[in-house]
Amino acid sequence: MKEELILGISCYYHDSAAALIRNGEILGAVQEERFSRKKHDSSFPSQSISWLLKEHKLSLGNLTAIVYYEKPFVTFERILETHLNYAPWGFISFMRSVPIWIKEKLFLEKDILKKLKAIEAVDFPAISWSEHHLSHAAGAFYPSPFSDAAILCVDGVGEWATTSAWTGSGKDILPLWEIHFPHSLGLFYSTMTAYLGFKVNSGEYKVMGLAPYGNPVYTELMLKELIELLPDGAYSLKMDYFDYGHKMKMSGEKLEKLLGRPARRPEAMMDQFHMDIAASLQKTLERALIHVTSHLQKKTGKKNLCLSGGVALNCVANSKILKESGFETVWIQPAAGDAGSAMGAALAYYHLHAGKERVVSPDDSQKGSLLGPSYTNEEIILYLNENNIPHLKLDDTELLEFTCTKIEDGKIIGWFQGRMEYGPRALGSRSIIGDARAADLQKTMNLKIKFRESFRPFAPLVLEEDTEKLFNWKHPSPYMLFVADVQESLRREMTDEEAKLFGIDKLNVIRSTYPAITHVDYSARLQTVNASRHPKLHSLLSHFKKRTGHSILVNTSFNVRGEPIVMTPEDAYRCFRRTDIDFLILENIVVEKKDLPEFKDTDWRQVFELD
Amino acid sequence: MSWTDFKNKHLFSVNLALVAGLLLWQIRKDFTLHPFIIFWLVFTFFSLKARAVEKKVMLLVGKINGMIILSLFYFLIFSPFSILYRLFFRHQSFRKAPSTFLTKNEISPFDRPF
Repeated sequence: MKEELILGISCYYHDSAAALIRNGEILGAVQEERFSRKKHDSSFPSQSISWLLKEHKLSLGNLTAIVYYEKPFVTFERILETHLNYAPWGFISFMRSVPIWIKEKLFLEKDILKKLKAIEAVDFPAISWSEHHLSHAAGAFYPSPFSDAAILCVDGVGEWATTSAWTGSGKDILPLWEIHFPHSLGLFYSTMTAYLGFKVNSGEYKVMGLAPYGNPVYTELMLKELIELLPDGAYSLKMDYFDYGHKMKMSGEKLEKLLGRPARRPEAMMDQFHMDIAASLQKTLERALIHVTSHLQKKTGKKNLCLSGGVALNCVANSKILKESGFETVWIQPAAGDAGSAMGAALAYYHLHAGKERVVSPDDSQKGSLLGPSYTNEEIILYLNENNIPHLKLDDTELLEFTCTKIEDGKIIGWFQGRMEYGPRALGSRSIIGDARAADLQKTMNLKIKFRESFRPFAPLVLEEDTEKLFNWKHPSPYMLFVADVQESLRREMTDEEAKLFGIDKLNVIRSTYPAITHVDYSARLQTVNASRHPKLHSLLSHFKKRTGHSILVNTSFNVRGEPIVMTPEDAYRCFRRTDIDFLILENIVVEKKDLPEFKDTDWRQVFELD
Repeated sequence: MSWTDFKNKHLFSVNLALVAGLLLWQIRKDFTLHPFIIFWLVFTFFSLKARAVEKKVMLLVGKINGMIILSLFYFLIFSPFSILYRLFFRHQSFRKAPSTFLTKNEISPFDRPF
């Protein structure tokens, strides 16, 4: 059988990435930001491609296809049509976007070929092009454990589509319908994110974390004035309130007038109003998504749903979809944003264009999303020795014992193991971990380690077999894409005084046996761990359970605010030195924060733009 | 230095100096030819050395030119055309319709970027 080696590429908008598949199997996938150390890097993923080829001892000449994740000419058509719709308004937006398109993006093929030639000057296949939402749909369906499913993609905007529905069966994906720009749930959420003073394309996650502090008192107003849920399962936005169509900003005066307050300036004080807006926005999004998905379920009659697109990273909404849409199971691409489209584009080409059969894995084919670079103990020791960093090598049993002892003592560990994650979440390979029982851990981690807003919650790592004992949840959640409520038996009763607290004051109240991971509404962003996907992490949790009776740990991504997740031992060591992490564990090597050589560093706040 | 070399590297500076000198001469009619030649030579000498400045000037002039042309295009051609276009051919995504659902029947082929 002829070997099919396909490279998928996504770039030039945000979160550029590359993925390599061999005969339908995902060999590797990585985001360029991890190499360039620039969060959401949109540049051509040269370093990612070079790593993929080197790792699998391949040349560009070995590839059977190179697939770009979008159709650039259709996107240009949308930009022109949008300006035609608003002209003469939208002059500044026109002057900013059109020259870039004329100079660069219309010549994308030439540019990609040039960049690939710079990696390796050999003959390689011509560039193929997959539709943006098809790339999302393929990235959600093909790695999923389903042979038959409905597929929903929801993001800001692709070429024209902002929401699209498909059905997947075996190796085939068939389109059903699309909702086009300017009606977009992703852009609706982003507009409100900008209104709340957070950055578009990265602050959406903060809004979701902020929502439980507020009351959704503006939901009905939003559903009446901003978004209309149509009887056939579609939705439309009332564009008078949104400026993203023709201006360089998302929201305008009309929206501010409707909500009664001007937009919050970045880093300005936050009060109950902002939390209420966040809560209302979250509720509105959930209502809209349940509206769309329940109609999709009725129309297709499918039991399984695959989700992708940036909006599918909203784990609170995902849980609501699973509970209320009528679908029995939901699988979400862990790199649901544009980064995941690199993989989706390659898979779409393999199954739909080349017509190759699909092998469905009962667990899923995403390999735990651990698809990036890994480092051996020898490579790590070499780095540490070169930099005179004292360290200790332990065998596997000693390592588990050492790590658990330190976590029990309240220490915070930088945990660097195996292949790096593909997607925005740290799933236990590049994580900072600690004891979920510690009362002040959330505050310490937010303010002294992550240097980020104190309201932001942390996620638990839980043994899959113990999930139901600890959470009101019975589905696996290996990619941290669902939230679940802490079991009532583990919750702490609020005093009358505590129950009366508002907003951020709620943060300091201990709510359960595991305060570090229990959000103010008793929810937690769950990651379930099993031995097949994550053997070492499973051993750690099992060992911790044996020692303490608790099979749960706190997990947050190994980085500081604004920094991409660490990739190399060097990145990890740098982050370790910049923060209050107590121990750095790189595979089997332990580095303690004592007797370390002088660390010359520039202020990381100048290096990384705050998100 | 070959002609191509001179043309690529320095012709712009020489021309710029010439135009600047001529402008000055036109503004001040009492300005005699003698200081004009000195001004031209001094300016040319410095501009020959200032390749980086020249490049920046060229880029700036190009950008301004581009902006002027694009602005004229936007207001004189694109905007009037957009009014007619909206009257007769408004894209379906911007039309008022009872539903925003658009049925999709096929997947666009992989071999083309459109």
